[in-house]
Amino acid sequence: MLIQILLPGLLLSGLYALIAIGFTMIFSVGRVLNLGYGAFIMFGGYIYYQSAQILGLGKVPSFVIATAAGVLLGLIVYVILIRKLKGDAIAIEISTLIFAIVTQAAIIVVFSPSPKSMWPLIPGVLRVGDVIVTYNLVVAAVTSWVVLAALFLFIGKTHIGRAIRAVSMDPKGAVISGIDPDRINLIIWGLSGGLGAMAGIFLATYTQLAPAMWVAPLIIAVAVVIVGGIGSILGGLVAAHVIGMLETITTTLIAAELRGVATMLLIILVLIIAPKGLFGKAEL
Amino acid sequence: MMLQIQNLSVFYSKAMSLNRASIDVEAGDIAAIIGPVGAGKSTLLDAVLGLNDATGSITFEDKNLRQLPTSKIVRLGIGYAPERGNLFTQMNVRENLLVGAYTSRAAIESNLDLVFDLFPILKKRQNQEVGTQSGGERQMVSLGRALMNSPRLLLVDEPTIGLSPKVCVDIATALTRLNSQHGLTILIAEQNANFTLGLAQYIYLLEAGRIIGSGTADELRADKAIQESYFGNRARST
Ligand SMILES: Nc1ncnc2c1ncn2[C@@H]1O[C@H](COP(=O)(O)OP(=O)(O)OP(=O)(O)O)[C@@H](O)[C@H]1O
Ligand SMILES: [Mg+2]
Repeated sequence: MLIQILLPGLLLSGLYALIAIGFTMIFSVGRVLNLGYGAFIMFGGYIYYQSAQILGLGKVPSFVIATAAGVLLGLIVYVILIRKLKGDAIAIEISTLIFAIVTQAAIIVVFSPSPKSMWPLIPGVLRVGDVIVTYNLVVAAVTSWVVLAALFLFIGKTHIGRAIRAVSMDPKGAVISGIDPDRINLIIWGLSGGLGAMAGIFLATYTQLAPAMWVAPLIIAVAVVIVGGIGSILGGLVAAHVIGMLETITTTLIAAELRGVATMLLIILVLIIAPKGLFGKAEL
Repeated sequence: MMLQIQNLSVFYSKAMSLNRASIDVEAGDIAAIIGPVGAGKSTLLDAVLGLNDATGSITFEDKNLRQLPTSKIVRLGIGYAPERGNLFTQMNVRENLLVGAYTSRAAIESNLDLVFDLFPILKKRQNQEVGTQSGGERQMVSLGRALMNSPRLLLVDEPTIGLSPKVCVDIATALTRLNSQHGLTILIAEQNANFTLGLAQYIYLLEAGRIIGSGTADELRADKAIQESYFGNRARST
């Protein structure tokens, strides 16, 4: 019984961590919620679908194309929208939310409102004792962990990564060290777009592709930021795993329809008892 | 003239924090701005780095700094140790210094040697998180970070604030060595006139946003009115 929850819960957590990281990074650096983050996820899913299932370009090339398209979308959103709003958090939150809704409308026009089912990345299932998990989820989780580890090395060990942390900790200290905050933000938005698109491919193959699919991952990402602590990427990773487990427990033990409900209740609980989050401090 | 500031004014909403201030810093000098709380010292140093909205002219080695973004001004060779340090408190000492090296990566090793030579305690405490350090250590990290970008001009805002006399001496020694042994030009903003008089070759007096006087340390010591309002009894006793 325990492993029936633990194994799928752990795998789902890896995917949730990838879903949340692009959102958390923007929050850490700019102290602003990118409410359009779900659009990066949806965009990645649809580009992959178009490339792999309609154009037949193959799974790996399609994965690369969709991720690169996500990077490009992140850069475009930063250059034409975010940069012009000059750090005004409310304006950015409202306009990114509108961006997500407009993206949803555009997807309905281009791809029709009906959901599309996706081929698994790798077909088949993995049996561990009497637990069955799809290879698709295994691939999604393992890739997520590898990408997250690479991202941690990048943020922890490189000059650009240190500059990203510097901007998130003390913007004035960063600029007087010669760091151009605009350039750091551009990098962050590009990374966020790419990570979101990648997460969207995995999420779409785990559930399905639909024009409203940006809302659920956005709630997961918001939950991760709130539970993990404002501005803490490491806390966010831990929170993603807590939330993944929690969802698996509620959907397996109580009712599958409750997916998402436990997460939202957790958001409210944390806001009441620990408003700074469980790991709240301004570190990356 | 290495740094030339002319008729610099800064408004914060309606209040005028700097009123047509003009200052020259000669290459190779230690210059200082002395002024009481709220005189506009930090505002002036921030303006050199392009951190606030100012009017007037600022040139560094004959290059116009106005309209340049801060990151470009830093790259021209200006280091800044600001008033509150603005350190990265969740990074350790070494990482703070490495961020300072962002624009000067080829010289990391030699600059680290320089900083550790000036402040040996930082070498021992490289892996300590800056948020857990003492005020004196943080001041050293702040100066060290500013040195990591190989500056030719160093701006230092109140390096002695809240520090013990012993640490003040260490900081003064480090600044003197940087100037005399490494040829670094330094501009210090201070309330502590006694500290500054022993250190700087040329001094400006700033009050309520205006430069109200200037001179060498000896000239200022000889001026009776200045003597009384700025150096009080303590100047005579030291
Ligand atoms: N961001 C700001 N908004 C409004 N007023 C400001 C701002 N920054 C500084 N001031 C005001 O400008 C004046 C000069 O401030 P500044 O910090 O330059 O003084 P200072 O000489 O550095 O003083 P101290 O020795 O206390 O550091 C003060 O009256 C201060 O209240
Ligand atoms: Mg000041």
